[in-house]
Amino acid sequence: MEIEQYYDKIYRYCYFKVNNKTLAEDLTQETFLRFLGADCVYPDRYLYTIAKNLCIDEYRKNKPELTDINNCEEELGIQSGFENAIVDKLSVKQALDEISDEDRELLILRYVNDEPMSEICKLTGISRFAVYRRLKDAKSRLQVLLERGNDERFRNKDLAEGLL
Amino acid sequence: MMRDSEIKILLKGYCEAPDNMKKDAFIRSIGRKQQFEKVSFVKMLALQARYIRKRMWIISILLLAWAVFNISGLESEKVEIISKIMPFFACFGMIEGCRAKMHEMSELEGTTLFSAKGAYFAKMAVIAMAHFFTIVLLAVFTPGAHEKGCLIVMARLLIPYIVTSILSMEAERSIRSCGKDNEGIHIAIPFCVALVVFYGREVLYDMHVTDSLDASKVMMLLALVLVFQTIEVKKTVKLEELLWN
Repeated sequence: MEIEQYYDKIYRYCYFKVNNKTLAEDLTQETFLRFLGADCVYPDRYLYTIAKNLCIDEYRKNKPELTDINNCEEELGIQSGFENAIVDKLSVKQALDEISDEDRELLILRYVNDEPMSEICKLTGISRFAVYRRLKDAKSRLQVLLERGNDERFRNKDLAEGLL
Repeated sequence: MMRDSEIKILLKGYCEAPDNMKKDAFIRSIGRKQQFEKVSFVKMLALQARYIRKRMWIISILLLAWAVFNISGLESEKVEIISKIMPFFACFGMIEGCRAKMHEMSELEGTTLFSAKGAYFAKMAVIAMAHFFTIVLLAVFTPGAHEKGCLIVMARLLIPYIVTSILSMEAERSIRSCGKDNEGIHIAIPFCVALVVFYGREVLYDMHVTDSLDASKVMMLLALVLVFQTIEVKKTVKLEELLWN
């Protein structure tokens, strides 16, 4: 089994679930430690299952708070290139927080981990057609949320410039 | 509508990369744990079989097809002619098995989960099993085999194969014990084949099996070469262990 290949995938999967780099690393390593010694035909599916359960346990222990992007913008002050990147990240985080867990999982598997559709069907247990339809809906929902986030940002920027 | 590539860039950009040092340290520790897991013999063979080049199988099949289909009408001599192809089977098998040594990859192979010795013998075992299966099929389906006896036909096909592999292993070991891992293997092994094909014909190919005495001679000769083959394998194992340690 190519541990390095699976490590990055499981890490990204955990990162999107817990939104914390250190925690994602710990959960990834815990996933592999629990996986060791298991003789299974489909290691990737088993790894994802372990990672998912660990993230759920972690979520139940420490429920995360929704990020208020407007507050973060005020703290950031005048926007520069670097700060724009941070704000983009916050927009993505806000948008991901607002979509459902199932849709977020599909987006992570497809667009972050580049899993093929057949693999996603087996991991999620839903049909190919259902995966395709839900991915399309998740994508459009994410786009709407990101555009809304951008609109709010520009409105706040105009307001801030107006005040100055 | 956003393109897939745009979403990928957006989402991948959101994810922070893991700490590489922490990741490498963890993967190394996992690797050490996995080394203590036992790999079954069958799994080992399956793993090494992947590294045998397809051309080896293609050449074996072409040789076999040439031998079987090109000698129509020579019913009584088919067994002798097919047995002359056997050294070439052994030759390709040996060259394929020694490929790691010829390209100086033995040390690299040795740093994996398996020893270089294990990988070498696993590859040879896969090739030998495939060739043995072919010989069994030939022994059963060669015209005239049932009159002569399938076991005798199989023995007459096996003997030149085993003799070639004995000579090849001896040659390969002699070259390696001189400190030259890769020089000359690709010359020594075909030389052994030539020895068997051109000089072994009187002993190996001219035996008549209609006489029951000759049948017992064939079986005794087979038993003898099997003993020598076992000795050669043991010597090679000892040399590999010496080099490994």
